[in-house]
Amino acid sequence: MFMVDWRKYWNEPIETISRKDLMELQFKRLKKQLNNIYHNSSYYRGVMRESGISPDDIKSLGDFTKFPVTYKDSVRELINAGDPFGGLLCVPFEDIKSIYSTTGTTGIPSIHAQTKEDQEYSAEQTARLTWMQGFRPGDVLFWPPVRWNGFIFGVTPGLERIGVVSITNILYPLPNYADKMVYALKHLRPDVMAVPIVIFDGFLESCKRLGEKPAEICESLRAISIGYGDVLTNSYRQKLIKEARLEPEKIFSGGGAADTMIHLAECEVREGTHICEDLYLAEILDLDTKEPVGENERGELILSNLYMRGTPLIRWGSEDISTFSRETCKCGRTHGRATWIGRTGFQLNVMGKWILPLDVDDLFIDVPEAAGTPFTLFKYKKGVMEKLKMKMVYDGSKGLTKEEFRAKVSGIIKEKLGVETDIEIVDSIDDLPKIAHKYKRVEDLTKES
Amino acid sequence: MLREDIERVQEQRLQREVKYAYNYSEFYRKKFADAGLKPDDVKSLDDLSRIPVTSKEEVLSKFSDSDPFSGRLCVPVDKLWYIILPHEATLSGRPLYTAYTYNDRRVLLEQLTRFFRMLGVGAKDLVMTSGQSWELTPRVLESAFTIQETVQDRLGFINMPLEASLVFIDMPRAIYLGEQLKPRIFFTLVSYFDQVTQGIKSQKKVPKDVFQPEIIVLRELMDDMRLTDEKQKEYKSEWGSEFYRMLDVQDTAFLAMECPEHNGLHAWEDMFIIEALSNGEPVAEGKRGKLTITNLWSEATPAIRWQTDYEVTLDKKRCKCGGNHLRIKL
Repeated sequence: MFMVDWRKYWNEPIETISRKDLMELQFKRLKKQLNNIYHNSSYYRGVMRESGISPDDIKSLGDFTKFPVTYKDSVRELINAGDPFGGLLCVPFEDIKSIYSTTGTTGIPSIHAQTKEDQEYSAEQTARLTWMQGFRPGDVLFWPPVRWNGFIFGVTPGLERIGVVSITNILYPLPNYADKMVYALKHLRPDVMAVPIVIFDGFLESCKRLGEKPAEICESLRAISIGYGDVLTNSYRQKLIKEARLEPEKIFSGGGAADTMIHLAECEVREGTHICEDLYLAEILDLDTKEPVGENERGELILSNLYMRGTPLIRWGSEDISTFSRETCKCGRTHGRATWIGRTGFQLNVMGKWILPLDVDDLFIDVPEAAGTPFTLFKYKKGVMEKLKMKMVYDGSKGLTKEEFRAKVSGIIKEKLGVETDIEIVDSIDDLPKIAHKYKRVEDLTKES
Repeated sequence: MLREDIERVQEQRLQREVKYAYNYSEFYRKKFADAGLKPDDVKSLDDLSRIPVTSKEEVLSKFSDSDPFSGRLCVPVDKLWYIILPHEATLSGRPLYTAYTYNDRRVLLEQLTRFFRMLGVGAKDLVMTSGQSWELTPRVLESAFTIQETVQDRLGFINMPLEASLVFIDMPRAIYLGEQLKPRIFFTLVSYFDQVTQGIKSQKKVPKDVFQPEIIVLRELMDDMRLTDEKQKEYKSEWGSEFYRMLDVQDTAFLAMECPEHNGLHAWEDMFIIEALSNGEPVAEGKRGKLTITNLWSEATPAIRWQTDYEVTLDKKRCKCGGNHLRIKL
């Protein structure tokens, strides 16, 4: 087949904008957004009046740190008071185009609304970031989207803008979802793929059962964008390279969030996931002091939506712990990159040591028997726990017996983290707890009692 | 449209579609050759019965890993808009792949727009829609997932999409959203609607007290739960809404829906030729036969005399609603 020499960037002027111009643009959009929410959103007007801020008080991006951070729960009060949008809706009802909501696994779902203009922007966001990963016009894309998810509202139009032909598979955990994926990849030879980690794990299990080689089935793929709900860790990447024998240059991390509609994606340099900073203002705040941290230091990722008119989220606590780099990337893009570390609720205190799932995951990067193996950690009591209690999937094809596997894993954890373990071994990813299509990386058992 | 006008359009389109399938689809070329039929032999609607019937099983029997479309695909893959991965379990490893171009999409769009006009849906109406992520019909209805023109763009309503396949996650939310936002129209799959009804009842509530859309469209898929008369009566008393039944044949993007007269499902005959066949032969009007569809505008994977497993009777008399397109009675 002949190859077209495509341009490198989807939107070069904006993707390679200088940091100074980018900050000016951010500030201009932020001002407009602050006026919008002050006059149209009852929730934000309340928040701003309470803390004594008017849009005119924000004279620079630095002043913005005075603005209070909002969490999901803060909006609940107004929902309970009878406004389904929790006071976030900034447009008249008839200007709404589509309404979406979160799953509500942690309480009642929060409802969001999107206008036609909002969709244009989120489509631009996806077009830029998937073009970056190598999605091109005429490519056949294989992916399993969910219809209710606000993130998908922007992604599908963005992919359509590039001009990919899409094949959508059913979702986890519907029967045969993974077998179907094996067949479809084999028959239709797609060029690109976007897939959540849970589904890819199911696919690898299916390949084994059907006697197919993942690398052969994925041969036609130029880019595999993987994550979406779970984050592609270094250890998982090793599993894809060493065990599934995928070429490293095909693998890209990707993901997003349903509430803010933000899209994060890795470029070919693979040093963190890019976001579109002209559309979102990202800050990292210290977990305890809630003050901004220095460049590349870890803290909670706080996002402000600069373009949305329907239900914009401003200084929204994502509950994700990450670092953020604003340095120009080697790929030439000036927009910042986030490196995900964990969820704020995922920190476990074992014998006085704070442990995140990623800390455990990172131990296995160079351990072929355990790299990228899905697991769940358990918070079995409040306060300090004596042991790290976990459930882990065991794969018999890697040459270790169950006992050897358990001994190896607990040995590594004891050596590197210095804590005792209590590991339950399970045979399939089906036996791990999940929320929709995501692994439950930490299960909180203390909540029920 | 007068009956003779409908038939004139059908005749012209049939000739064109048969030629197209013969020229571009290996599957139909072989099939016609086996039956000793040349495209020029099809000159009028009377010649329709000379064309052999096609069934899903027959297409799947020609399936091979190197040609998963069984020779049906008439356009290059990069000219497509969408490829359907079918719903049913594929333990055999032989799914019936169906593809659509942007022109195919317009046919579906036009059908669905006409139905929504019939329901009187307009600007400012809130429409709650449930569908499955891989399905075709929601993709021409809602603007949330596309930048192409949709029924929503044409009529200007406000939309709230839900995922029907993960009903165990989505059902409580559907009830919550319905209760909070009170949609005027609920466009839903039968199986999903059944779950929502049961979900409300399990909370010891009556559906109509939780939320009561003015109109509920129950969409029935070939391989999903089917609607029975008892079920319909039950829903009616529990919800008190006006119910419209819709038939959705994904294999060939065919839709049929009740009009406000509720006397059979209208199908758009300027786009499809609809027959009822028994043992491969057309039955007399009013007799039961297998619903067989010819898509007159298909571009990617043509369906000529595509036989479904629905037993129906056809009514070509003018409907009281004024529509002259035939009605399918299930």
